[in-house]
Amino acid sequence: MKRYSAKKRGWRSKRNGFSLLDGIIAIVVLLIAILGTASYRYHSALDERKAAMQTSATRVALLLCESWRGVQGATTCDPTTWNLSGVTISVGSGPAVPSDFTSLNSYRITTNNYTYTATLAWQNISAGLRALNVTLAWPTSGTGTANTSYALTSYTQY
Amino acid sequence: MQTYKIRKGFTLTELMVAISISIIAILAVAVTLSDGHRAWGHMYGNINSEVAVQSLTACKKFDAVVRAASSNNCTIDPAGNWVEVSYYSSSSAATPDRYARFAWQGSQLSYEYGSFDPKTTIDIQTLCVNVTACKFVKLGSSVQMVLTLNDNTRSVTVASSNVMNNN
Repeated sequence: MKRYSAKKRGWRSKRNGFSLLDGIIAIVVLLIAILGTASYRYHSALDERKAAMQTSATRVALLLCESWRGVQGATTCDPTTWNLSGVTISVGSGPAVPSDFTSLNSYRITTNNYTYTATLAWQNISAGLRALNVTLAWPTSGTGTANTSYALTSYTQY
Repeated sequence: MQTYKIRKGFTLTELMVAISISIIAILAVAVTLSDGHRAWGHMYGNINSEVAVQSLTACKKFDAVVRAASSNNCTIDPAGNWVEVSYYSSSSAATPDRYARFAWQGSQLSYEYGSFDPKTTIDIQTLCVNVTACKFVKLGSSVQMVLTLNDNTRSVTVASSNVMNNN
């Protein structure tokens, strides 16, 4: 067993602990790792929601476009009377009408707990041929101002 | 002569503090992993779950059949539980020679097809199970289908509309 004499008190003891700098560096590294993980989780969930909303939006746009085309693009078409269970359509504000198109109306559409605003517009291309445009807009985060849109144009004889 | 003994080990307090910190760190990692796994499972299920795949399959089938159908021979249930259309089996057929019927019964959406005249069934397929709602609506020359599937873990509603492009 190693023994030290009290007479040898003049030696400088060597501390084996962590310095403040060591601790701060460790905490910073840990914080970066935690923030990175949290950021990854947040963005993956957000992107999943964005993808789901985009997929649903294309389906809704196709539903509106094809149904309107089914009545030869009638300017009296009223989607609020379609009585679709699972898809709620009511008159509301919507995205801007494309240039040279005439607005049919704007609607608020809810399906799968996602809410969209939509504007239906038409334009006569030539005698007997009509272009039907459906533009959907929605907020990426699910609430607030719409900042993403999807437009679909179809043609029909009338 | 006074002597000092150097103890090469940890005190009980040091050990307790270290164990406490370790437990907190392990719990944090476990919660993060568990949460991440659950989130990944949710996202994966949105694409690959039975209800998601079956609803997409039903929509694709409905799209393909109705778009090729004749607008002259479309019969629809007043309650919207089924729709029957006729279509051309090939480009050489002079008249629609096949029929197709989509029907919601119980918790299933079935697809039946066969010869149109005389009416002979060739096959009946089940497109979806876990169907909680399905409604067909005819609007001009288009047919709409709104289908809701629910397997008690997730609910999916898909809506489809197609114009019957043939006479």
